[in-house]
Amino acid sequence: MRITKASAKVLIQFLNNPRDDQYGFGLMKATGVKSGSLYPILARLEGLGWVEHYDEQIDERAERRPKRRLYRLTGTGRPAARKAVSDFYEDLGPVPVWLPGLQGA
Amino acid sequence: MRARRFGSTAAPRAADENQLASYRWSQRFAQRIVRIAGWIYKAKRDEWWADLIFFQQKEDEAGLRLATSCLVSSPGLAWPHASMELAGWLLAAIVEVTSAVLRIGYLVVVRCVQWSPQALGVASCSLVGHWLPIGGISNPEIASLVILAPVGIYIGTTFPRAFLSLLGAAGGAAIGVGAGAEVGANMSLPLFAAAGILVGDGFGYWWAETVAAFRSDAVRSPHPGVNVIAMDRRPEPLRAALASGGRLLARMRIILENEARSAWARSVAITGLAAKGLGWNPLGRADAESSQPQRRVVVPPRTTLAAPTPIAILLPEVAVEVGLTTHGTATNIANEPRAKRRVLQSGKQSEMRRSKAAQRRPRDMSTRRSRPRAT
Repeated sequence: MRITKASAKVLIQFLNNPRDDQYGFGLMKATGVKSGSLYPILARLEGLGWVEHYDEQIDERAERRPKRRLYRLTGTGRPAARKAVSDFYEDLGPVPVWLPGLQGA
Repeated sequence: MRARRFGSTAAPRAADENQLASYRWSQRFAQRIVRIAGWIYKAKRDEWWADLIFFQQKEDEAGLRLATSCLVSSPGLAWPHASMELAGWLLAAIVEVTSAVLRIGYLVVVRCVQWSPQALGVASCSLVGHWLPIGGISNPEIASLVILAPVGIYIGTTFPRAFLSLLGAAGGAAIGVGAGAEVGANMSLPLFAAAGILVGDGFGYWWAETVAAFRSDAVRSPHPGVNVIAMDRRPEPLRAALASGGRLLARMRIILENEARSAWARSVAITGLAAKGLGWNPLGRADAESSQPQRRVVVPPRTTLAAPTPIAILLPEVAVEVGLTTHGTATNIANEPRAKRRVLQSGKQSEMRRSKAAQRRPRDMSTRRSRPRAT
């Protein structure tokens, strides 16, 4: 599975924070990927079944904000994302050791 | 999830009042930008809004850069949706234009056939005027045409069958004589003339029947205000011409209005089916899901439930003539469950009444029988 640099950044963000589900603006801020690329990437990953989205479970009145749409890696998406990212970095050179979440890849 | 106004965001840590004011200003500006971006790309409107509010509350940032990014990218993200809509509009326009051209063409043909006896009457009277010009005046042919044209219209209107048969026979005889002259034999001339008369008379009779059929049809209008637009059976020339012109316009308007209502739904459905058939899904799965609530095409019952034949769609007037309707079947189907329910309910009620009466009757009889006679 060939991925782009922006996709790799997004997947790394997911892999680095396995317990935190991501949201659009957070991903944009963390990865530096612009909105015009991020949402098509997320849609593509959802199409592949690597990522799924769900609505945040909060009390909107208590939190005084609307529910966000959160994204997370699926069970099948996690190893596939690891492999895709490692393949991506293999093409560029050795896998950087400082990238967390890729040691096992 | 609709974008709601969650106005009170967390207070910024900035102590300085100027900083606070500028922070609030940038917050509001970012919110405005996200609103505009969401207006452009409605599928992400709520998501962007919720993200921005969260971002401003928790991250303690205005999110101006991210909001601008959303605004810049929104046209590109919205393009697949817009292209589908554009394709739908184009298809609708093509369907509309084709349908209008067909209808107008059909109406023109109908009118030409309906008024052909009058036109032929005028033409034949002008021939009479050509052969027998009125003497003593300038332009005798035009004068005789002006004088004889009403006579031709009257004859064509009042005696269309006899006139057209006669005209057909005369034309047939002329053609037969011409053909006989071409053949050259003297004996063949009456033979050809007789054959021409027979064929011409038959053609004239058939034409008169067609005119009568076109004149006497009644087109049931699907417009609720207008039930029947009856064609004139025996039109008086001037009044009929005026009334007919008005009816023609009314009829065209009704047809075009009705078609315009359903054309959009039809074209959207056709586009969707075509896109599905070609495997074209430019929105992607997630975007397609998220974009579902943003636009709902309300398909009228007659377009969803009816199974109209192509002729019924394209030429409702022909369909009416041959016994098809574009809307009647659908309306019946749409009303069927309720009607059935009513029938069933009424049937059940009457059955219950009958059974109650049947239950009551033997008891009454038994009570009567068992009741001792008063002595």
